[in-house]
Amino acid sequence: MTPAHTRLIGVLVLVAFTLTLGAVSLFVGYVDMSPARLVGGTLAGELIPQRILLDIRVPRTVLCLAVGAALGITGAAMQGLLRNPLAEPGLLGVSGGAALGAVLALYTGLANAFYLALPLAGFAGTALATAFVFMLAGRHTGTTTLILAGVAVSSLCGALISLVLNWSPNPTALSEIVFWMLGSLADRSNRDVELALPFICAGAVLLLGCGKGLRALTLGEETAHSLGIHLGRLRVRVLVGSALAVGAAVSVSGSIGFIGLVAPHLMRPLAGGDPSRLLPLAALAGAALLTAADLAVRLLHASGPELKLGVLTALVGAPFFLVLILRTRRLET
Amino acid sequence: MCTQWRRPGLVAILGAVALSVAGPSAAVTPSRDAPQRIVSLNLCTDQILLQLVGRERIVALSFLSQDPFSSVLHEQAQGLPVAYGSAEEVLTLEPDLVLVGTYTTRHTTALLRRFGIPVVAVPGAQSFAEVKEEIRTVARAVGEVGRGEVIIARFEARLAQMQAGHGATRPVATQYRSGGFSAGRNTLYHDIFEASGHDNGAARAGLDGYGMLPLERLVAEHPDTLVSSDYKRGTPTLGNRLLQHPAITRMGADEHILPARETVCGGPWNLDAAARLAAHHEEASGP
Repeated sequence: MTPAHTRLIGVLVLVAFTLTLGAVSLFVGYVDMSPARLVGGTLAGELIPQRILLDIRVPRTVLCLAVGAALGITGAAMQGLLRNPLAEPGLLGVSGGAALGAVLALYTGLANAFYLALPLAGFAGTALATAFVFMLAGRHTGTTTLILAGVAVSSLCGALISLVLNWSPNPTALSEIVFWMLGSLADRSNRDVELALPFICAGAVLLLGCGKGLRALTLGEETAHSLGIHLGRLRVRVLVGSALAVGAAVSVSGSIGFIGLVAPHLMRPLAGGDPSRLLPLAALAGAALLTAADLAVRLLHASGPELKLGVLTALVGAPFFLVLILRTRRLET
Repeated sequence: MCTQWRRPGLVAILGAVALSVAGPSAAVTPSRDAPQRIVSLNLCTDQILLQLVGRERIVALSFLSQDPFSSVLHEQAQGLPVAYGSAEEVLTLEPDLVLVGTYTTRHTTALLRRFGIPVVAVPGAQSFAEVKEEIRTVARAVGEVGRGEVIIARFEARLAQMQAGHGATRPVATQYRSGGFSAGRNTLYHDIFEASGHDNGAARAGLDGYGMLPLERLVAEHPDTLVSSDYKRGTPTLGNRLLQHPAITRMGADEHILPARETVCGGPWNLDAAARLAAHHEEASGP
């Protein structure tokens, strides 16, 4: 079998795996109801199974797949653009801005004004943070300046979030802000899907189009330039694409770590070092990882407070990442 | 060694300061008699106390005692001094009895006990049985056992009367607020729902005490009424964003707001809340 064949089989297995996870996700929840009863009841128009399947589990599953894909693809694009394996979606201030916007909405009470106020505030935060990074980095500076600008904006957002927590008007506001930042997809609705999905798709399309540029960039900036790649334009595309995809994702889910960092690393062997192949693969892997993590959250729920999705991805992601590093080191020596 | 030596010394100094501030009367109050200078540092003990003793025996109530949102007896508390719960402040009031909540002003309580001031800690009722128990505890401490029993008897009679009026079918009520928090078994809400002729949906879904209720479980119980509180509805995050979730709006449950002051602390007013809920159900189900 040629490497191309092996790769194709790998991709097919991954696709099948992700779809299976998505299907399983529809039938795992907090209420014991068999899949047959859930689907049968929904088709028969029974109120309770219908509301549970259509209004709670479908949006949750769709968001798991979409948010995971957004984090995965953005992670891959960032790592490609910055040529740094430690880059992750939030590095350039995108998730920090979304978090700050959402936290401010919770703090001021705007979040209660209408249903989508919270994610929309996240959008606004992302847009402002991204614009600020652009302003700081400019179009023609080096990668280091871009990273520094992103880190600066991220830490500024972090500092402002701490300030908001410090000023928080009551313990309930405090706990809601903290819980939101831990990241979760529990009890989201179709309206969240309708809001986030178009932006995530637009961002993903924009990022998928960067594959050729990122492939050229693996040969170095000068070579990429000589191959006709306009680095400034590529950078704008990646940044706007990430802002759209991750900004929308974080706005509905809260901060979820490690998926964007781990997914591209997992897929690198399968992509054979080609960023244009890595982008869709990382999206798939991210979708599968986040759905699996959210399934675990639901299965682990006994009673009492739910383990937040972002906590679980960080808890599982960190050791996983360590193993990955150790394995890479062994291969190198 | 050093700290062991220093601590009693410090207490002695503080004690001397307290005594000099308190003046001679603190030592004169006879300990056998019913306390005459009572301080309450907790919203719930404020209200139990106001039912049991005359104003002249109350030296200070908690800072929430006059808040119309928090206290049913806020009008009765008007004009009485307010304490914020620091030990210095309480010592200068020269109390012969201090009522506190078990989980509030913990350090103050420890300090007051070290100065030999009688402190009665009341944990906060989570059921009607505990409401009665707490009235008895405070009544005993203030020497008004008879008055306490009268209040309890009236409470029981009204509860029995309400329960006798319940219909055969029990509608489902569930308390629900932003973040998915709800009240299950062993909460005041549970007994209030019970008294109003409702089943508690959160308890049926397996929730014990206050905690998170996943939306799915709420929907599965299909409550007729979602109960929320009017407590600081205007302030951030205490509104009810989650009630706008399509799974809830399409379920057709109506929202009913109960005054926070009738559900936060245990007392006869819990039955007022129950009566409101029962009246709401009658209104909603029509003649």
